[in-house]
Amino acid sequence: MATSELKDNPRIDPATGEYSVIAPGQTFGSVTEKITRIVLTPHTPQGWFALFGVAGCAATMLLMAIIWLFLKGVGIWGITQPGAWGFAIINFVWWIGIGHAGTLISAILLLFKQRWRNSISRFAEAMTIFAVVCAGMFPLIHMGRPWLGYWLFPYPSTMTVWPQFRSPLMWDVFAVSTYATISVVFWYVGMLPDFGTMRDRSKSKIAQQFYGIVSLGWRGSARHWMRYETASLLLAGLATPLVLSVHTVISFDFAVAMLPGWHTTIFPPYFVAGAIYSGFAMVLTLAIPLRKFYHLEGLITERHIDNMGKVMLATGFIVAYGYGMEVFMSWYSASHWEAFMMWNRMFGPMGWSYWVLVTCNLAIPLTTLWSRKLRTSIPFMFCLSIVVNAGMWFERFVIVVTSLYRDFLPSSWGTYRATKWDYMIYVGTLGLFTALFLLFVRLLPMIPMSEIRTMLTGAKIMPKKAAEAGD
Amino acid sequence: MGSGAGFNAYLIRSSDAPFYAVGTIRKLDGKWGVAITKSHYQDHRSKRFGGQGGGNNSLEADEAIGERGIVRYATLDEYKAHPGFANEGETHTRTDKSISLFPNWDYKDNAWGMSIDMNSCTGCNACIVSCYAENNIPIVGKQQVRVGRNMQWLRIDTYFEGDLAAPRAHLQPMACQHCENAPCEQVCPVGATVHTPEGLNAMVYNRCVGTRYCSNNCPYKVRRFNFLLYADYETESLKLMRNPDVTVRSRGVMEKCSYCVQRIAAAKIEADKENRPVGDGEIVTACQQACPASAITFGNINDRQSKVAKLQADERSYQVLADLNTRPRTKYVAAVLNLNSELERAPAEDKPAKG
Amino acid sequence: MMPREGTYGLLAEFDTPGDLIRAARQAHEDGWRRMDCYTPYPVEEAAEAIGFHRNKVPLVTLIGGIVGLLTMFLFETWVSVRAYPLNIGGRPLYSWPAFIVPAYEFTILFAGLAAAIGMLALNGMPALYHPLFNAPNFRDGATTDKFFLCLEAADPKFDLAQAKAYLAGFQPLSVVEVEY
Repeated sequence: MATSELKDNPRIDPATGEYSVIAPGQTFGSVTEKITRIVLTPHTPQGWFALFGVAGCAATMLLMAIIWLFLKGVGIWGITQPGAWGFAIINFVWWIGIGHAGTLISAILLLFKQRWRNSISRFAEAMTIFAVVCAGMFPLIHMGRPWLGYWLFPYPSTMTVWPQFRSPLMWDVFAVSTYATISVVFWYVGMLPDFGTMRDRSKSKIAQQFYGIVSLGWRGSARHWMRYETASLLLAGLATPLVLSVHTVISFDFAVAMLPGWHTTIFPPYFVAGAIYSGFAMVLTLAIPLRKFYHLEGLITERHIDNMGKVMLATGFIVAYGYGMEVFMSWYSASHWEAFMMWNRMFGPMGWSYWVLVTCNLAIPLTTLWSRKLRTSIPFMFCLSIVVNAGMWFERFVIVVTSLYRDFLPSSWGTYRATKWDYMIYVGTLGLFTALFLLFVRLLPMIPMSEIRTMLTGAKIMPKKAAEAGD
Repeated sequence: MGSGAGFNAYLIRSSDAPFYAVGTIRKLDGKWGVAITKSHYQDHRSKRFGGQGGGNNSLEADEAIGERGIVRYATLDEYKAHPGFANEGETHTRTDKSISLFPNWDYKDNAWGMSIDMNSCTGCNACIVSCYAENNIPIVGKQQVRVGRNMQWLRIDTYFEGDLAAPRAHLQPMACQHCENAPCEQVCPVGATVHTPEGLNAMVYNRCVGTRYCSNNCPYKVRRFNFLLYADYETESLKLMRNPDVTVRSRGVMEKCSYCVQRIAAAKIEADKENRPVGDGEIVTACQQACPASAITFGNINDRQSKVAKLQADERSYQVLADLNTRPRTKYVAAVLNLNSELERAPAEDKPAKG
Repeated sequence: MMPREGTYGLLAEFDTPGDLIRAARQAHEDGWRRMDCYTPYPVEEAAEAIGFHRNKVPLVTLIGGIVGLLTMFLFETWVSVRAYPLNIGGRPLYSWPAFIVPAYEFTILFAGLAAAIGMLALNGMPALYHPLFNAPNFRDGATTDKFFLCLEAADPKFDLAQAKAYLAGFQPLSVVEVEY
């Protein structure tokens, strides 16, 4: 780090050489004012409307595509024999994977006492919930008879039949619904104190009533805070194995099947690491425009971007290990099925997707994220986050499609080509996600004020003599 | 679906000259899509990756006849030297029921099984046609077949071995193997595919919600999915055509060969009425009935005297993909080719096009 | 609920957490028991100062988790072995390795819900009305940047005039009487 940089940049703490987690000079009042103003202002920025309009159009396109799907059948997609799973499952896994970073930031980093996560945890958790909303629709709509989707839930039916619990799709039902519930609960509980703040500061009657109800009467009692902290820690401690298990269960959709390329024990850790990788990329994609547009550079600093880049570097290497192991095992196992699968994945007719994957996921990020300069360069990190997101989508594409289209019997080999409905639904979910996220940004406090307060200098408890000396 | 398809041959065929025509042939621009149900790729792999190095062989055949042990055959001399060729060697694995993490399920009474003789199969497709008729299988049309969605429950897998200028064709009828350790059953979340006490892999159309996981997990890819509404519920004349013993499947439901369970049930009902067990040869599946070469045999493998049990016990009988431990109930009798050494393979005059 | 009339308590407002903690500790030492601190973020020392130690949330969570685990696992076993046993690919009826997965998820679900709902129930929330909201300076500061100490009238030591003077001794920003 050049000394000139140290002297010039007020945001770099001269003692450590790192960017500070929050910009200095903020008080309880200034933080509260900054965050509540975004929500309580009667004037919605024009940019918000513009972006919401675009996202809303995409979400409408999603709705229309789903209606056509229900009317005609899943045959409007590109799925076929042998590739009976296509974009729907790819998108499902992609969205759930993205969601995992939010829980990791809220829960796991809380347990590790990484205070820098305070500013980003709320909207990362919101990202999780909206990602799970987008993901959760796919298992339902990809069914041949989605109106019977409720058969996957165990309920006493008149035919006395029950679901079949050995199936990974059944495990998915429980894992994803648990994940959705716990995420919402964790997110809501986290917002209770801030709802109290919003209630106390809002001027309009509607806002007061709304925040009054959702805050459940929060008043900041010390006893309540203690139970609240315990509950938060417990929820964080529960959410951690939940994150690990949910994507493990998703990976079981593939690992429990027999197909070469699917049936491999590396999948659980590989998927979990990949999920965190893509999730952090999406957090960056959201955080960078947010901080720019709402002038939150003092609360979401280069330190956050830097740290997220480091997490991506680490998880990117775990993903690289997963890819490497697949290649190694396809030779070392002396299994002809595995060897052919790997050759086909790299050099078969769909081989191009594998090389796109390697470029986007490994070649570009893992060579550039080493550089501190690049990790704290906002434009670079934004572009990189898009590249990693695309790369992770291709990873699921490679896993789902290339393993399916050429499997055991060469007579059943086929191909896969997505149709316009596949693309419409995917883009539509991007629009739905963006629209929901914009609503969140407008209506709810996107940075946890109570947690930021604990990091300010005013929160330090001074001994009486020092306080008096300061007066 | 049938209207507008194909070409009118009567434009060049007249009653004066019903069997030949005179004229000119001209090459047209552009491409015409042909609907086929199998993939045909050339094997461009180098020897290190398992290919022949030339690019003149079929990739599918190189794989099926080589390491995968899907098609096993021998010449007469090879058979005389190694009568047990079908189950010997690393690529010719056989199922070992003693290897299992959990106890084997016991099938005490009837245990239905099938034997398909690859020596006799000529690839005439009569079995496929009869299966269509017996089981109300829908026609999907050229466009859907080109995407890969044909609904044949029984298909004849054709592998072209050797130089593609003069290949040797191997024919293997492939239908649901009714595996005892069915991989499809385990992954169905609603339990729409289960195993009957007599060993049939039963497909419960009513329960299927169409997640298609079973099709993904089937290594033989014999499961067919109704991606769209293929069955024609409207046309009155088709209603007369259909077999009333078999459900007509609607959209979103998986289907597959059922070992003609309706015929099995009918035979069992008759036997029950007469207070006797089902005799060998009483149940004839549709494909078995239509085959002119009697390549397909069906019956109770628990009955040691039945034709199918004897065929399955033959040393030439093998199970396809036995190393996956699916324990299929259908066994194939490996072909023994008695070639005339004086008939040489035709030399390659035209190299096949790249692709 | 007891009939509510008259004074709920006296509310002292402080600028820094240090002042609040000193006041709370002193009050606790002097024998005050019915009191509470109000802060815009968790201050552990404040809770200790008023004598709050035991917390039942972990126990509730544990019970929730155990209930979830047993419920789900036994349910899956009952369905597969007793209610409608089916031969699924030759697999054993009691496929406990497979049953572990949904049971694990349900453990976490029930434990998490128990933690959240238990915390709210133990806190007496939702409580949309509370006498303290009648004090205007409370609403302006408790959830933003001020620290409050409330001595409740229910405490046997409470006497309006004396308590006011006692609180004034801590040099708060203000002392307000809170009505029901």
